[in-house]
Amino acid sequence: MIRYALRRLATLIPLVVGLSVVVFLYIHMMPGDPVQAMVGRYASPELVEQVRHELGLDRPLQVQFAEWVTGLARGDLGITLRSRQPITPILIGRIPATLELAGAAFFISVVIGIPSGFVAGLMKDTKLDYIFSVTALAGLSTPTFWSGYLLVLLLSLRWGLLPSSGYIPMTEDLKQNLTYLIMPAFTLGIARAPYIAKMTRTAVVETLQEPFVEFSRAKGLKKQRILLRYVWRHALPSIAVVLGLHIAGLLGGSIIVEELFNWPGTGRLVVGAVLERDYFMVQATVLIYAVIVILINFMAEIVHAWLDPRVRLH
Amino acid sequence: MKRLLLLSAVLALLLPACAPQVVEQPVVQTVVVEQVVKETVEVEVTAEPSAEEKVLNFAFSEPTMGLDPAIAGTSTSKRVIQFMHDSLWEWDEDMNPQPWMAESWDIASDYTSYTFHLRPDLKFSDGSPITAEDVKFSFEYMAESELWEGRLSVIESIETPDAQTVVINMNRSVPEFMLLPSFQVNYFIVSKAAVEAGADFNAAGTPVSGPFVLEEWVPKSHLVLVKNPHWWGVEALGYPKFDKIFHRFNEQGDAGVAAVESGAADIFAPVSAKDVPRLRKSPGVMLYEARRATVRGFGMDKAEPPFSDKRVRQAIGLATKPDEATEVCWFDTGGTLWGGIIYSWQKDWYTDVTPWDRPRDEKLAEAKALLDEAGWKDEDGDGVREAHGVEGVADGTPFDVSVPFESNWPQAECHTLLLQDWMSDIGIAISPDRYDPASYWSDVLDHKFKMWHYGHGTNLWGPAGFNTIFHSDGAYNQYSFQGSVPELDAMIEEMLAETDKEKVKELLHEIEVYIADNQFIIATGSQNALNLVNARVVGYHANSVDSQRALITSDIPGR
Amino acid sequence: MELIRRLRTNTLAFVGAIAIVIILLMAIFAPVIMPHDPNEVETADRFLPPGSEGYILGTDLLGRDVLSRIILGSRVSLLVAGVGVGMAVVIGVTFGVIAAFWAGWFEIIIMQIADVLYAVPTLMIALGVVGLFGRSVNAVMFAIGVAYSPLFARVCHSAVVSIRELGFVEASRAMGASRLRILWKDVMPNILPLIMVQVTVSISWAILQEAGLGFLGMSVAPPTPSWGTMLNEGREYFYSAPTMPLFTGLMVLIAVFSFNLFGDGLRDILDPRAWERLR
Repeated sequence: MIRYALRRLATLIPLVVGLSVVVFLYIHMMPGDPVQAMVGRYASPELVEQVRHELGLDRPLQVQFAEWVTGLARGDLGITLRSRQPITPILIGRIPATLELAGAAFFISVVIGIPSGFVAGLMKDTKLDYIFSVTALAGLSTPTFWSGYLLVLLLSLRWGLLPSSGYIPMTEDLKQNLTYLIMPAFTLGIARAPYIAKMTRTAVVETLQEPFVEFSRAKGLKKQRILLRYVWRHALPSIAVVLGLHIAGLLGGSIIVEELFNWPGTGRLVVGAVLERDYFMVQATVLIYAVIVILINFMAEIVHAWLDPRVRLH
Repeated sequence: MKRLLLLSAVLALLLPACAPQVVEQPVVQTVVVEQVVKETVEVEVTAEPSAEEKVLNFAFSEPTMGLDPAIAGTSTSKRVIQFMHDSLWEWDEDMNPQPWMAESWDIASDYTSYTFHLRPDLKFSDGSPITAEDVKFSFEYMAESELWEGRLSVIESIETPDAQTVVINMNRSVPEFMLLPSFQVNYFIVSKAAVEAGADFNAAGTPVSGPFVLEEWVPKSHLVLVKNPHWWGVEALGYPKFDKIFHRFNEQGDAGVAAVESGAADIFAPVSAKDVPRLRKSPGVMLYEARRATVRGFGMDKAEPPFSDKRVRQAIGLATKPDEATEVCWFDTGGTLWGGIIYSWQKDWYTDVTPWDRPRDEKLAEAKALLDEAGWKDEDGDGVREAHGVEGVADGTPFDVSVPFESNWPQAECHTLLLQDWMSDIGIAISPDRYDPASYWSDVLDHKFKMWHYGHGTNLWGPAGFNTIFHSDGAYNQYSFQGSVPELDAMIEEMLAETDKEKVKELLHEIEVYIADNQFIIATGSQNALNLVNARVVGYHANSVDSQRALITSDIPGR
Repeated sequence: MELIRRLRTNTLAFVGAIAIVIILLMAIFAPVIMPHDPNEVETADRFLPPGSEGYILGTDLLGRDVLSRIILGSRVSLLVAGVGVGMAVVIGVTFGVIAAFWAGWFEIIIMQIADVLYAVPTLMIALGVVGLFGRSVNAVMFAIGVAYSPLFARVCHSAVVSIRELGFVEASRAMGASRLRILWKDVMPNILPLIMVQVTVSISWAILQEAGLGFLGMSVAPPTPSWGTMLNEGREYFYSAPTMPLFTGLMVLIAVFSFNLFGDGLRDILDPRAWERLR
């Protein structure tokens, strides 16, 4: 087991290194001037140069890269061009908002997805299953910025039930925080629910096809009992892998939802950074996202291997 | 007597509540700060005093360039700085300077010297007195920075005959000296001792001259300002009413607007024009508009064809519909220009220069004739003119221009799309180009474009404004005008040297006519300063420099 | 043809196919079927609600007909999705097949890169690419190409690997066939159905992707309408014209759904067992 883990790890490290070089390089090849964007429309050229020098953007590339890498090792992701503040605390500061959104969306997607997938799996090939498939597919095809719009149009504009955007940290005002959370979490949640539903259905269907099920049925156990008792163990390995993808999907989907609802999470940070040509911020966030995804995948693989020894033989 | 005062003041307080939908400022307004403030002070005594801290909530974006008034050039920084530092005078809504740190001032008849008499009770937030030395130092300190050196280059020398008197001598006649700082800030006074000791304005507790001091700044989250107990206005005016300002940073317009609408914040600026129709009907908030003498429109590369030909430029000017831009893109928040550059409400300088205020068919016919004359004709009937005998252009070249605009400015996009529509009426093909805002202005300055969209944020106060844009050495020349016209330079210089106000107006008129005739830039109008404020705020007004300092003398009764 | 017959039996796929054809026709014949000039500015008629005289779906900020813009917008969305996926196919298939053929370290590295690209949210990759090349249609196409190539690389790689293990390749080589011939005769016919299905599904996601990027303000320049940029504009003036983004989003939903339906059905028809092996 350990050897498998180490083997996988070995292939990962050069990847991360290569990734950091690529991430650093490409940003510096970008056309456009972030300093100009930062100081605004009415700044004089001299001011622009002054700020550029202060930020160290006029030094040779190797020097900048070396500084960046050594900074990374210390956990220092550099400073944002926007307000000259260090990025790491900013990023860390935004994580709770994204986690909250992703967490709530995860919860909603699981609550909607698993039961419906379960039932569909049980009722395979019936009309219900058919409806389920179509609905799930429709759900997958729905853009989040559309379902989000719809919710805002109805719940905010039309009926004035919920605020259309805004955010207050949980620690400050829980009730208000939840009010702001409902729509974005729902939007993201129902967008991801179909994936979970389909996967659950597949797991159920596959489990039902296993020989031991026939055997148990012969013994007189009801279908549902069998599933409840055995399906988890059987489905667990594939669930672990899919979970990793699901989280990645949530993170990706949250970018647009955050933008739509002005939710101050990390996704919006990235978009804002790209639009503002904030070199350092884009660098940092793209790297962090990629590393997180790689790590999640790695862990999912390890869990999978642990639960299903056959994988380690590959 | 007290009852009468109470009654009238209560009525005055109620009136704004009765008309929340009106865009104009509430009735409780002041011409001179001192008078009305004294009245409301009386009322405050009879109203219930709040025992807890009175907090004012801001929803602006985080300051991006720190809080040093000499360095911070971005509006996000300025919106905070304006509460921490103080100035010799304060403008009212009509941009008339009112006594503030200076009790009074004398201006030489030829505008070459300004003498300010300071109040005797001025103190920094650390209790140390503010003297003429500090004022002198402040001007010198700011004049050293790139941000201010242009505007302060008019100062020749500063004398301090005594601790309460400052004499500023100019190197030429500067009638508009008290209007020069024209975007959210004034000449702020800083502590000589503090600066010389290396104080950091971004740190809490650094001595400042204004009504509030920085207490805390948590990046990407919020900052807190607390009332400066030593500020002269606390005793003399009974303001500020707020003990604290809590400024939670909002990233973009939508979040800030939402914060005010939900009551989480009391003020937000700048409000985007697109929100105006909705906000005008939104309960609990009030939209304050202030007219600004800014310009927006299109710049042209006049060094080469097609825009080197005056007739082409005139034709383009004639084919624009400036009122449509104001109505459609700016939702009627802003002024409209009909060929001139000075707005009708700028009484000191306005003369009627409106060559475009004519029926459109007439203007179009004239424009088409001008283009024909200049050699641009549509001979192949495809709706777009081509060159036929235009010097420097091969015959048959279509009149096809790509016009970039900043892609993060929706009004610019709308404006450019309208330009495309207007120009199609005279056979010119415009391709709007959604340009990267990060490189936009550096590319404009690099002369990359034949035609581009521009918008000036600084107010054009008569002579000074014309100087900054149209003079070859003007600070903003390269952003829109990008030209050097010796006759124009001469006319501007003559006007600047003139001290007689009537004569200045005449000369301005000549310059305006000259510019209108040559159409050096296409200018369609201005943008108003839009502030969204909690409807319960009393005593607020927006002003042309888009400053929110009126909050210092505002209150939210009952908070 | 066998395919069409099988298609008819699978109702959903059939419906999807018809819908796709309709959408394609709409895109191709857009200039003919549009009720108005989508770029015609008519400020007197701006922000008309849906159901207004002559403007079934209303108008936008500049008085342009929403329906016409949606119809014309299909061109951009389909073009971007098509070219983007096309690029992804070329890149992905090439690398996937090569990696499988020339096994060893090369294979491992390529597939690792593919795994990472596959796992990182597509939007992040797209943002990265667009950030580099600026906001333009080409950048979006390239972004889609880069983001979706791992899908095809993995599909082809797995397919070739399984074929490899089945011994076809060994046998052919023993008989003296060149690598290229093996590729053509043994590998391709097996991969093709998988690629076809993947292309269909990828196009649906690519349409969604373009819309998403356009929503964030990174797609085509005005005045050309594209579903994504229309959604972005719609957001800008949401309160003045709330239905505009709604109808546009609905169109995106229909298009994506159609391609998904068809793709799913195609998958079932072509070779259901092949998919089980790959999972």
